[in-house]
Amino acid sequence: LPFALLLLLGFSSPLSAHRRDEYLQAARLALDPSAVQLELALTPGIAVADAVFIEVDRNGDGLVTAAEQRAYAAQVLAGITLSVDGTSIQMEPAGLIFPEREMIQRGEGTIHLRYNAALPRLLDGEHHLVFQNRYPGDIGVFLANALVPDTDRIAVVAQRRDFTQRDLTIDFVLRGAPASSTAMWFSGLVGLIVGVFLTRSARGFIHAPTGLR
Amino acid sequence: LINALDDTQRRQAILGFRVADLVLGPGQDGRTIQPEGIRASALSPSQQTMMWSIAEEWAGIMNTVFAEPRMAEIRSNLRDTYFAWSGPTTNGSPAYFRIQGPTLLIEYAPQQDSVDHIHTIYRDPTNDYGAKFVGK
Repeated sequence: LPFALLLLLGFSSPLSAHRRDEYLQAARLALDPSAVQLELALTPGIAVADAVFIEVDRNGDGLVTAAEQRAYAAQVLAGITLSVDGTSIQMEPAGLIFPEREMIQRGEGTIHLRYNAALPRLLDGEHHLVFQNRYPGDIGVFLANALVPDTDRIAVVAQRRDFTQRDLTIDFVLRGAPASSTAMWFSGLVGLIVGVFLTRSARGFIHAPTGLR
Repeated sequence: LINALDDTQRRQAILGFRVADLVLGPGQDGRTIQPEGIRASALSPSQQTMMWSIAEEWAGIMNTVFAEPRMAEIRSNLRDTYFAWSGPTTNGSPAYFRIQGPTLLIEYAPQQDSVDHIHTIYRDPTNDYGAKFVGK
């Protein structure tokens, strides 16, 4: 029964999830010590669906090709900025899923875009990641949230937003690698040295008969 | 509940930005957002009772055999449960709220400033879509 209930609740929302004249843009940011992943879920309402589709379908043939999807992902990205401690970060497209046109036209289609960005080397301590979404300005409504980090090396201590959620600042603390990881790294280094030594020994052993010929 | 909070509690519970829709709606399985709002442990016993009563409107709509242990599990995570609010605080106003704990996420999101069209979701992040029951 709980499973059925969850299923019912889980699927009940999209059936009635008709947005109207807004373009919902939900951003989720996942932080790790060396990278940021940005996921965007873009849901145009019924009244703006055609306008969004026209932007995606650049040649107007009613079909959305892979090239048009990539171009749209780049267009969205052009309206987004990301920085850490005041230093701009370059994001790269890392994945996209486009719904069928009919889904978009019903206000039920969500475009999923994913971008990755490498962080500069950060010292232990507090840092600030600033996300700004300026695409598109007039019909957009926005959500922006940090996900709980997968590692305990990062702790999100605060999220600050403007009223519209176009701007999100994530205050986070980076901690050093735990002792166990350092020990593993040291063990790995020792293993590498031993491995190289054994490989060289083995080569010597293999080459020896050749040298005797 | 929001009107039962004092000024200090309200400052913690009320988000200073608009939440136009569900943050973890359908398709967002397995994701956990950073909790925001006021910790349930910062609520008085009577306020906590009100919050659990709200949670029960979602988590309790099943057989008592299932609902009681489920609510007990949710209550056991008091320290790590949060209540957040966005929007006006007068009764009947379209306002967003969220109750989030280790085994619970409830979101209530009126659409386009109207209580006539509500999006809501109830999740157990440790058992999204009954994953535990089917062994995934």
